[in-house]
Amino acid sequence: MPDTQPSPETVAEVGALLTAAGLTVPPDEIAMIAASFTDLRTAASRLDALVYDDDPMPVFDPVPFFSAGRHD
Amino acid sequence: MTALTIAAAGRALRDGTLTATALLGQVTDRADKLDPELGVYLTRLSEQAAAAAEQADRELAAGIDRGPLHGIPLGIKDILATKGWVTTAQSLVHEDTWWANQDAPVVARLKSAGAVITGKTTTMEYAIGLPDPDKPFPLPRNPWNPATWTGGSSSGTGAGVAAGLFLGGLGTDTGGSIRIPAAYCGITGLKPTYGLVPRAGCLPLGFSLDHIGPMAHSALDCALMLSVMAGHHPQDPAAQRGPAGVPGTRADYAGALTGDLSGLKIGVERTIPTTTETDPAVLPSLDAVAGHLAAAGADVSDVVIPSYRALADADLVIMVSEAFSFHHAAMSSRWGDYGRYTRTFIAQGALVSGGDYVTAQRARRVACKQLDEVLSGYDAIITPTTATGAPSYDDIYHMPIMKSIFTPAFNSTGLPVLALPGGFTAAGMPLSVQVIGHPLAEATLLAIGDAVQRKTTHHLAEPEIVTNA
Repeated sequence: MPDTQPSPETVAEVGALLTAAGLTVPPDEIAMIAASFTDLRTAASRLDALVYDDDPMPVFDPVPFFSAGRHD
Repeated sequence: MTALTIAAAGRALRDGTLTATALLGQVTDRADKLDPELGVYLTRLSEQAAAAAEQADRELAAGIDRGPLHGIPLGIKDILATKGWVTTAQSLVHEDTWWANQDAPVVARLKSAGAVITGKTTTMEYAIGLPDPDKPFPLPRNPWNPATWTGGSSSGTGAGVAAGLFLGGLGTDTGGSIRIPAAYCGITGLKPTYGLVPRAGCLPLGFSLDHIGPMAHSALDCALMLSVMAGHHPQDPAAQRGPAGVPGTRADYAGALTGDLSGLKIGVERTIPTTTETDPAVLPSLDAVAGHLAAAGADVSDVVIPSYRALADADLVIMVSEAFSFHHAAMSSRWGDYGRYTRTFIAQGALVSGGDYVTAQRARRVACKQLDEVLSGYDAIITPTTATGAPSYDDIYHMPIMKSIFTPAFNSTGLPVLALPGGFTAAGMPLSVQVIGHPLAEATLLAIGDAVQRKTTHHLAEPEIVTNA
């Protein structure tokens, strides 16, 4: 479980995203999910910075590139 | 007392000192005594196992030898389809019709090899979340201290091997779910190269992160299991067509285990455990394993994986996205039927945009290339599997578990990783080291694990609950 308490603004933002996704989530569990939101967004931001800096020839490969026999 | 391995049982089955029926009787007695407390099984397949054991005895007596798994009791994680019994995914949501009356290809391969499937083992619901006391399923408890957790999500398989309720079993690994229970329960577990073991008939958690692998006491036992499990299957679109993929042949992973690591270069990554909550015995256990590798002839030196953080980040974002994709429809209508810890984890996928997912996959590729550059100088890299021994049930619902495990990053890579027992904490709880290798280099990893296990006995130690049973 995350070790930080989410702000009321974060809880509201997460609640709106869950509702928009079609989920009906009780308030205490919105808070649980919101507690992970900061870590999740931080991870996504770090990844965004990585591809901005280090992926000069952008490639999208959704399956590990050594699968499907490419390492035969 | 020391644990009975698949290899040792196989020798006994062939020299006449043991029958498959008697072996099944032994593990069944142990399950009768210990499973009510340990919560290893969701379903015990007693009749099917007895029939398989009797068939094994008849065949071995007639000179029909199906190989090292013939007559060996194995457990199957209950997200893998098994013919003749419903797969539950440990969920109230799961439909009985999914893969009804079919074996997953990997289960079929074990049965064809003469294995005795003893039952379906506990997991977290759909292989994600935490043990849920509010749902009508057993809570898996660690045989080394039943007040502690087994780890997950291959919880029952890990505990069952450690307690001797079977000699090996199947687990799956999307963020560490083979390696974490292997670590906490003091056994050996292998996450093979992505696609080496076909995933058809296995419920998905993260489509591009899921791996099926063996769990057993030793690297040798994992090798014996992998030789049966691995190989291309047409029902898995991501299945490898690598060395094990030639139809009609099987890779002999056990044949590579000589104890001699001369010529191998192994890196030791000590910088990953940065949390102040790391048990003081973790890094010394890593150093001890490094010492055994050097004694076996390997060239051992320090290394740093600079892209570790990025790989771990990618696993998180990709996993929640892919899991949410699979569960979105059911969660929209049956939120309350999912377990609290499973539904709140998977729902994080709703917080990630399509653009975030694509970025994560792109960053994954960049980070994998960065790791490849480091790994190119080595045959394998070792690092701790977890920051501590198994946590207590009083703690797991409140602690930042993701900060105490060092496994998810390597799911992003799809590289093979072996977790092997590395010693114990001061409180007597198992510790583990993970060995990361090149694609399709399972033989090298298993040889490394075997070399350590020729010099140590951690993998054969039995918990007190077993010796007192």
